[in-house]
Amino acid sequence: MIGKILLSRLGNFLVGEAPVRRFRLFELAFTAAFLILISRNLLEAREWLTSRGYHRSVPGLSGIEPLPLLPGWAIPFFVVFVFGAGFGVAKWAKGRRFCFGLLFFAAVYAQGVDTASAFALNKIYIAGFLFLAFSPGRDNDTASGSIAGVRAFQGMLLTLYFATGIAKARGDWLSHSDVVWTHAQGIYRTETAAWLLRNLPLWGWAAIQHSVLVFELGAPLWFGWRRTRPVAIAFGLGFHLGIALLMKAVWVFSLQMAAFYVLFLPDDWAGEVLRRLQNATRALLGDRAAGQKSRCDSRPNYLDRSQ
Amino acid sequence: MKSVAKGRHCKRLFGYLAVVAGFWVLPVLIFSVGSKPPYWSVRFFSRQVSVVNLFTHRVSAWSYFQIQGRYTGGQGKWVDLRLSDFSRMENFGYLTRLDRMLDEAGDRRRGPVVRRELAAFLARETAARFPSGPALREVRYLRVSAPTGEPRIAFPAGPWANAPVENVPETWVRQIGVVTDRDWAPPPKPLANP
Repeated sequence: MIGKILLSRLGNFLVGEAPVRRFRLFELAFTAAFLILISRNLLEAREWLTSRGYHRSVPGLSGIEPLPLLPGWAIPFFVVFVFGAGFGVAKWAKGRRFCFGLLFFAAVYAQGVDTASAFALNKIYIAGFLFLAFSPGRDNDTASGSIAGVRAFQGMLLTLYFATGIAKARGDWLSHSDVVWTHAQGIYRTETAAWLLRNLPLWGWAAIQHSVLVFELGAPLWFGWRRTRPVAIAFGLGFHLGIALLMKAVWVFSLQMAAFYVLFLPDDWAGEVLRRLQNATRALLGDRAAGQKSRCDSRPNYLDRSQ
Repeated sequence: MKSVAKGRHCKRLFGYLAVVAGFWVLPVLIFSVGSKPPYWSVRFFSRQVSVVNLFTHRVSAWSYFQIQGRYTGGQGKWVDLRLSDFSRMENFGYLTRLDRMLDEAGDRRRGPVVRRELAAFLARETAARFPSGPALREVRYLRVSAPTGEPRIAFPAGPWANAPVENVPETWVRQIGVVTDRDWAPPPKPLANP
């Protein structure tokens, strides 16, 4: 009997019906973070995507042959492809999954064409867009649906944190207190990092290191328990802000991770953010209905699959 | 939260979560604790989910490539070449994607190929930018290793910048290889039959 109740609760927790406006907000935030990454690379599009830049003839560390380069004239088509798909995610509710499929291929190409400019975040985008393309629960822009998508991506983030914590604990993070200090000195060192190196004592760096390890190893607990969740969100966002400030060029990774945090917001907050976003978009496009409340916020169209 | 969906829809939802768990959660966890990929994984897949083994160990020295060139009429003098003059994609900290390619080409198979190709690229770019200037004839690859904790690294005045070779102790510098224009120039065309 107790087992049945527990199973039912677990099922509800994993796939039950619930307000999922935060999932819609996550879709937008994750897509926006990807488009920002692509935009940064496109600033040097000819070097990145064409033979104008140097591209090695031998595979990189992955051992995989690079994907073909683009001719110069094809760059505008690539831009239209990626940003068109991003626009579709934002505006074309029924075709959202199709657009995530397009973004998946864009992410695969961005990683495969030039592995020297691809990092771990590219891999996370590939997996993320693939899972988004197949995410169940909602067929249109509704406020309620299965929580499965939210749980999947919450799990993705918490797995990342926890596994990173394990990898660090298996590395030097438990046996040495100066790991962060030695990393701050290297090729990622920003002006802020240099200032901290001059002014923060070694014990301060050790405190940062140990607090990060506790945060990552305990992430499933900190984010899972309602009471510690606000502190976890504040610490995590501060952690990623710190990375962005201390490490040159890593802000794009911080942006990607921050996108996952909307999945832990109260759904009302997410709805409010969505409403404001929609209003801002309409105002930007000169729509007279800018002041109207969004359908998503005021008249939720709950999915009722029993009918 | 409302009750769990039923029937085929419910199966689909659990199936979706199972796929995410099977293709992300479990592999990422396994690769974070094990050094060897498990037998069921293929090489590509294991690399694709290998996203957590970053910044795991303390760094005893930060290394970077210092590249120097010799030009026609330069009286044999080595001149520093900055890769940031040839690549504007500084996405590897303060280093460029060219630095990263050199960094990854540390083994005997890829290293010489990448160094030769990059030298040819640098010569081609130099000729394109300065058509009437001296031609690049030789490229020398030096590896500089700056130990962490050393005062100029541990208490820096500003953000990272590759220190010129003449400003660092000789013990920090190691020559990796020299590539000449004979290595990258196209082979001479065979003589036509008389």
